[in-house]
Amino acid sequence: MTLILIVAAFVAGGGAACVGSARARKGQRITWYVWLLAALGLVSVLLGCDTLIGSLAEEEAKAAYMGFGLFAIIGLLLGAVAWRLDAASLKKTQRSALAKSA
Amino acid sequence: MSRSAGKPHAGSREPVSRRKFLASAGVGAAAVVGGSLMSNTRRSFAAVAEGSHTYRERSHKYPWWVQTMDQPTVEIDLARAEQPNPALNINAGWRFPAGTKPEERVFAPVGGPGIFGVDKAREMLLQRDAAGAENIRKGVPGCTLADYALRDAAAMHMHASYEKMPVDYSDFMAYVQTPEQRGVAKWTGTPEDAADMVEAAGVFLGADQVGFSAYDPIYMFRGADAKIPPTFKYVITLAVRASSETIKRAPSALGDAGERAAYSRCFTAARSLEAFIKALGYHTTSVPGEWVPLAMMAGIGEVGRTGRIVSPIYGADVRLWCMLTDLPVALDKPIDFGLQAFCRACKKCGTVCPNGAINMADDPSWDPVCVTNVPGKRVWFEDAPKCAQWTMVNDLYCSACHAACPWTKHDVAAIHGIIRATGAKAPDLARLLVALDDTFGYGLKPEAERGEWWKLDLPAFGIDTMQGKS
Repeated sequence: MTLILIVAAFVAGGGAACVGSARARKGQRITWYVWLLAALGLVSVLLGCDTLIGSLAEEEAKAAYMGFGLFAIIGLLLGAVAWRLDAASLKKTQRSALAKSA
Repeated sequence: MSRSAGKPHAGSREPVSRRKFLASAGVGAAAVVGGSLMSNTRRSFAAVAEGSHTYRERSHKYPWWVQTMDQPTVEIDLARAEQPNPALNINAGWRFPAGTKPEERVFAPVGGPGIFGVDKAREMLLQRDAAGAENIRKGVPGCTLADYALRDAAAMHMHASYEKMPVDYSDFMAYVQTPEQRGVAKWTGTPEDAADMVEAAGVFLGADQVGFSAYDPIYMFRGADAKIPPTFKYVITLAVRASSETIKRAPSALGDAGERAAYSRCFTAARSLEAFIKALGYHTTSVPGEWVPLAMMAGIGEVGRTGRIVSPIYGADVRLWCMLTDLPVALDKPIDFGLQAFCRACKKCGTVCPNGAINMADDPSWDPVCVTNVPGKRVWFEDAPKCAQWTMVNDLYCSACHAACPWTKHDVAAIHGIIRATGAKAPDLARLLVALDDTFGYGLKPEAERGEWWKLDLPAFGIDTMQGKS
């Protein structure tokens, strides 16, 4: 299980690095707090998966489903906040770029 | 951030920006983590000589939130302390081989029969005889014939130890060769080497935790200390945890099976370790006295509200065996993982106790509550006769308090590590953690789920032997 979560974390980290470099090439910087919120969201989702698999192995089904639900929701909310903040920041950057070019 | 609700901020401070706030929060979190790590260095003492003993470094044994202390977390007042009275061992004097007729039961006025009175004890045993059969006939969940059969099977080696019947293990010990019989010199090495070696052997032979403390006559039964040879300066404590899946079905015969199996494993591990030490050329004998304080001094755990050891790894679900030895071993020190403050707020063990035997006072006390309590320590004294009476008349050994303790957990899910660290470092959150524990369904299983145990795919002995090892 630990291995699966490590692989998932690496895949997500690799995906994030690709997104970051692609955005950097376009001159669109992702702010540090967006990275932080996205990382916390990812950790929360992974913790939810760990709780689900681990607690089922411990024969604690109620804890498994409640834990998964709780951490997954927190993780998704953090991810959504990060996405919205990033979108707002991107919009702002594009507007200022347009204003400069005009 | 410091603004009072409903009042405009009157100071000249500028509003805190989102960036500044997140940066401050990050620094704060780093400080908490850093502080915790720094406090952990307090336990980094290596082989400190104290009196005639050597103390060992065992930082690798526990997570970072467990600290080694010079003094135990239970306050001890030697001026008030007394040696325990063997005649007040409430668990002694009750058991007879199966099939013994009631009129053939000869009670001595010591142990349980001495405390309750012989007539009352006789009556309680008759109630027990009837209760077991009644539980089976009624089909009480966890109390079927199969459950009782499993319990009695699990208890076999335990009976051979605690009741000294029917097997005398000296027969087996006779086959263990001493170095003298082999014609070689006995084992020699440093106390640290001896401690590490005995710990490795103890775990291999069935113990989950092994700790070492110094012989102290105050923990020996009255009169017993005079018979202990002066070379027996060291105490080895073995802790064996019960099968959580089984004991969560307490109070029932099925729950008892988990508890009795742990005692049996504890006994076989202890006897095997005694054989190991004999084969090295040294001697051992079981400690004739109180084992809980010796386990506390050996850093196996802290003494909790239950009046028993709570291990930071296995929780309250551990059984003990203490033996004296003349093999010089490096000693361990007591530990602190915030249990005293946690138990003060938690009280979950007392809530599940079927006979109100667990002390529910907020704070521990110096004052014993019953004749079996040994004074001289500030603890939550247990009303042991209440516990013994319930278990006896119901033909069940209970252990619900051990199973319900929030520290009694597996470690497969990583969240337990986070919760344990929070409980240890922020015991003020104990009530919240206990509420979460209940909400998530931890603790005793409902009666309706007891029978499902027979369909679980459990490992050997019903335990995860890798717990606490990763």
